[in-house]
Amino acid sequence: MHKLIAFWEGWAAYVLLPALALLVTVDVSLRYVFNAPLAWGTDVKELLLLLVMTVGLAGTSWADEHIRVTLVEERLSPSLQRGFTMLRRLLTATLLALLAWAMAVLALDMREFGERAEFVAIPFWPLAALAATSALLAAVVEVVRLTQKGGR
Amino acid sequence: YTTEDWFAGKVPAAQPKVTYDGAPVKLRFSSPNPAASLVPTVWHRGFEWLGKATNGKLVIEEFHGGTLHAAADGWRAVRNGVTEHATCYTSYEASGFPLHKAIEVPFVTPENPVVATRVIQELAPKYFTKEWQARGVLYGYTAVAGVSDIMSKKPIRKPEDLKGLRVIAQGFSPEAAAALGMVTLNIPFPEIYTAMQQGVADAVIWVDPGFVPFKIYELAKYHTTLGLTAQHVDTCINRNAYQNLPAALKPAFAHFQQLMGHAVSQGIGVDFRTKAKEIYRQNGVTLITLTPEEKAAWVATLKPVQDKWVADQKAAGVPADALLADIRRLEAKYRNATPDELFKLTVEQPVAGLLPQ
Amino acid sequence: MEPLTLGALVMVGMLVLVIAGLPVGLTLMGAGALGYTLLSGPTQALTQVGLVLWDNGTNFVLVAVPLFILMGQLIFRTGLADHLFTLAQRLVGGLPGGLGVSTVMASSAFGAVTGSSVAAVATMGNIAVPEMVKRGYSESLATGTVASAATLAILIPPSIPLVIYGVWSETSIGALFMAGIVPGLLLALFFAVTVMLQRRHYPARGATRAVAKPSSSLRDELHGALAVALLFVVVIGGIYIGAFTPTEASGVGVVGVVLIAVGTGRFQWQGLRLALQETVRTSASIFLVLMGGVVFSRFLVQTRLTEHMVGWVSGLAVSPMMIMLALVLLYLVLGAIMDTFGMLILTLPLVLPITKGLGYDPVWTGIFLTVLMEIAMITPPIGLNVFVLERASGIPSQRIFGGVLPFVIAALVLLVLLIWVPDLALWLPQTMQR
Ligand code: NA
Ligand code: NA
Repeated sequence: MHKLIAFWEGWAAYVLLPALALLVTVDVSLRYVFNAPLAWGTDVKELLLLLVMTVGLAGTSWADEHIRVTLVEERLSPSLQRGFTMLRRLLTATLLALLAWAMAVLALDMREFGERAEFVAIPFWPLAALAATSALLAAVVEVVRLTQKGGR
Repeated sequence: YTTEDWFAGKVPAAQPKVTYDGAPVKLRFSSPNPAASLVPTVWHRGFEWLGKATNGKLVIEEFHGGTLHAAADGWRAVRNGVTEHATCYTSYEASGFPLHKAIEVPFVTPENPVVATRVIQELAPKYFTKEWQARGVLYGYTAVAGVSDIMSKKPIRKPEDLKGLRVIAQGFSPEAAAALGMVTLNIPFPEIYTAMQQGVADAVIWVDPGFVPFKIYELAKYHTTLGLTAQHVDTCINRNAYQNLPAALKPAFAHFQQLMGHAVSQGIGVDFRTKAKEIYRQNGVTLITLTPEEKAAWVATLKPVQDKWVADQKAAGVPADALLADIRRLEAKYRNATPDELFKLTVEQPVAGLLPQ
Repeated sequence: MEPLTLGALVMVGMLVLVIAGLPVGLTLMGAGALGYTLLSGPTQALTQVGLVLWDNGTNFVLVAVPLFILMGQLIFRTGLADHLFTLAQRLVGGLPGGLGVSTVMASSAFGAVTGSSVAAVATMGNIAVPEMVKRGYSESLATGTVASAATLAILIPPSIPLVIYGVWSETSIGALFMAGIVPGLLLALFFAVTVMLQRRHYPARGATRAVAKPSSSLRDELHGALAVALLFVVVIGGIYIGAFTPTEASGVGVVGVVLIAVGTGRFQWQGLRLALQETVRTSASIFLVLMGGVVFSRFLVQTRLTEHMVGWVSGLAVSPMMIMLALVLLYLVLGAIMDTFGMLILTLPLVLPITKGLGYDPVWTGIFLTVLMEIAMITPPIGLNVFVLERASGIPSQRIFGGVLPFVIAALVLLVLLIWVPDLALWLPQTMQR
C-alpha cells in the first residue's frame, strides 16, 4: 500500500508540481523576451493545478495530515481515543468516497458531451476521472489505516 | 410600444392567455452576475412581468452572483438539474459550437446589438438549436449585449496603433491577435483593474457592461468604437423542466424567452450604452469614433482571419459561408429598424421553432 | 422541513463534527451535500460537489497558492530561513519583540502584494514560525502573529475582495484601494503593538543569542540571508511595480530559491524531495477546506438563511450606532462558520442598503466589510488562515486560535475607530479626487 501511495503521490510531487512552476516561469520569460506568452499556457496551468490539488489526497490521508481540530481527541483516554480514531477514519473514508463518486459522475458527464480545454485539445474527462481515482484511493487508505493498530 | 410598456404590463399583444389553474410552477434561474448589476436588473423586471402575466402560475426564483454555479458551468448545471434555466455561455466552450462562435469572429456580428439579437434568433432554428441540444439542453436565447470596443492608455485609431501592446481580451482569437500584432493577456475579471493599474496591460477589448462596472475608465482614458466581436448573453433550459411544464404554460414560457432576449439586448446594448458614454465623458475619457475609411482599414486587416475561419469550418463540414451570407442578408433587412420596431416584431411575430411545442 | 430550519440544523451538525475532529474540508462538503440532498435530491447534490471541485481546482487565481507554498517550503528546507532570521535578529534583536514585529511587517508586506492571505500564511508559516519558536517565542504568539498579519492581504491594495466589492456596489475601485491604505497600515501597527505587549510570550532582550549556530560563519549566513531578502524584494517589488502578476511572481520565487540554494551550496535532493511532497499534501488539504466551504455556502444560499439574519438586524428599532454594532456581531457569527467570499456574496445586496441608509459612504462600507472578512479568516471554529497555518507549522489549530485572540481584539479596536472616525478610510480617496 505504502509503495502505491508513494508512486501515486510521486507523480504529483516530482512531475506535475515542478512542471507547473517551470511553465509559469517559462511563460513570464517568453512574455518578456519575445513579448509572446504561450496561448495554451493558461489552460495547461489550470489543469495542472487541478491535478496538483487532488493527486495529493491519498498521501495526505496516508500521513494523517488532513486539516482538522484535535481539541477533543487530545483529551480522551487512550482506549476511547482508539475507538474515536477508528470512527473518524470510517467517516472520512465515506466522505472521500462521496467525493470520488461526484467526480466520477462529472467525468462521465464531461465524456458524454465531449468537453475540452479552450486553446489546446485536452479532453476534460480523463482529468476528472484522475481526481475521482485519487479521492477513491484516499478513501481506501483511510480504511487500510483503520485496520492497522486502531487507526494510528 | 416599448420594453418599458411591456414590463409595466401595458402591451396586450404580449400578454399570454393563461387557462392553467393548477398549482403554481416554480423554476430557478441562475447567473454569475451580481444581483444588483446591469443584466440581472433587466431579468428581474422580466421575471416579475412573467409572474404577473401568468396570474402567479409561473414563478421564477432568481439566484445570481454565481451562488448556484460558476459562469462556465451553466451547461452542466442546467442539464443535471442544479437549476432549471441559466446563462450558458458558448464563449467558455472550446468545442461543440462552431456555428454559434461565428459571432465572435471579428466583424461578423451586426454592429447594432438589437439587430444582431433578432438576426441570431431568426437563424437559430437553422443553425444553433442543434448545438444546444447536443449539450443536453434546450435553446433559450442569445442576447447581444454589445459589439466589443477598446479602452486604452494611448489613443488607438489605426490597427498599427495596437502593435506590440499588451491587451486584455477574454477569449480573443489568437489569429486575430496575430493579425493585429498585439499580445493578448488572459487575465481573470477581478484582476483586470489591478493589471491595468500596475501597468501589466495597456488596453482592454471589451464592452460597456464590462468597462463601466470594472471601472476601466479610471485608468484608460481613450475609448475607440470598433465593433469587433459580439459580447453575448446565452441561456439554456433544462429539457425535463420544460417538458414537464403544464401545456397551457409552455407557449407563454417559450415566447417569454424571445421577449427577454430583446429586452436584455436593448437594456444593455442600447440604453446602457448611452449612459456609459456619459460616464466616460464625465471621467475625462476621449471617445474616438472611426471614420468609414479608418474602419475599413480594420476590416481589411482582419479579413484574412475571417476568411481563414470560413475555410477551416467548410473543411470540417460546417456551413460557415451559408451562415455568414444569412447574417449579411438579415442585417441588410433590419439595418434601419429602431429598437422599438424590433421589439414590436418580437411581440407580434416571434421566431418559430426555437423550442419544441 | 422548512429550508430555514434545515439550514440551521445542518449548520449545527457540521460544527459538532468539525469540533469532534473530522477533517474540516470534507465535513463542510459532506454537510453541504447532505443539506442539498434533503432540499433538492441526491443527483443535484452530487453534481454540485463535482462542479465546485472542478471550478475551484481549475481556478487560475489559485495557481499561485501551491507555488508560494513550495517557495516557503524550499526556503525552510534549505536552511535559508534560519539565516534570514539570524540576520533579522542581529538587526532588530534589541527591540522588545523585535523579531515578532519584523514578522508582522514581512507577512503583511507579502500578503499585501500577493493579495492572497492563504499564500502568505502558507509561505510565512514555513519560514517564520519554526524560527521564532526556536528563538524563544511561544507557539501561540508565533502562529498568532503570522495568521493575523497575513489577513492584511485583502485590506492593503491590491485586493481581490475590494475589486469584487467595487463592481457590486458600483463604487470606484481606485477609491477603495486608496481607502484601504490608512486602515491597513494602522492595523499593521496595531498588530505590531499587540506583539510587543505580550511580554511573557517572547524572550527577554539578549536571551536568544545562544541559538546562533557556531558551525556556519557570519559571512556564510549573510550571503544566503541577503540573497533570500533580495528575492523577497524582487517578488514583492516586481508585483508592486507591475513587472509581473502575483501568479507569475510565484513561479519566479520558486525558481529563484532553487537558484540561490544551488549558488550558495545549500541545495540537496533530499530537501527538494521533502519540499515537493509536503507542498502537494498541504495543497490538497487546503484545497479541500476551500472547496468544502463553497459547497456549504451553495447549500446555505438555497435556504435563504443569511437573508433572514440580515433582515432581523435591519428590523431592530435601535440607534444607528447600535445597528452598526449589531452588524459587526452578525458578521462575527457568520464569519465564524462561512468562507469569507461566500459571506460577502450572500450579504452584500442586503447590507449595503442598510449602511447607505445610515449615511455611510459605500467606499467606507467596503473597508468596514473587508476588516470583518479579515477577522472571519482567523476566528474559530472555521478560520481558513488558522487551518492553513496548522498544516504549514504542525501546531494544533486550537493553540493557534488562542494565539490569534489578542489580534482579533486589535482588529475590533480598528473597527470601532472606523465607525467612530469614518475619515480614517475616506480622507485619502477624497484628497485624491480633488
Ligand atoms: Na493586497
Ligand atoms: Na472564522
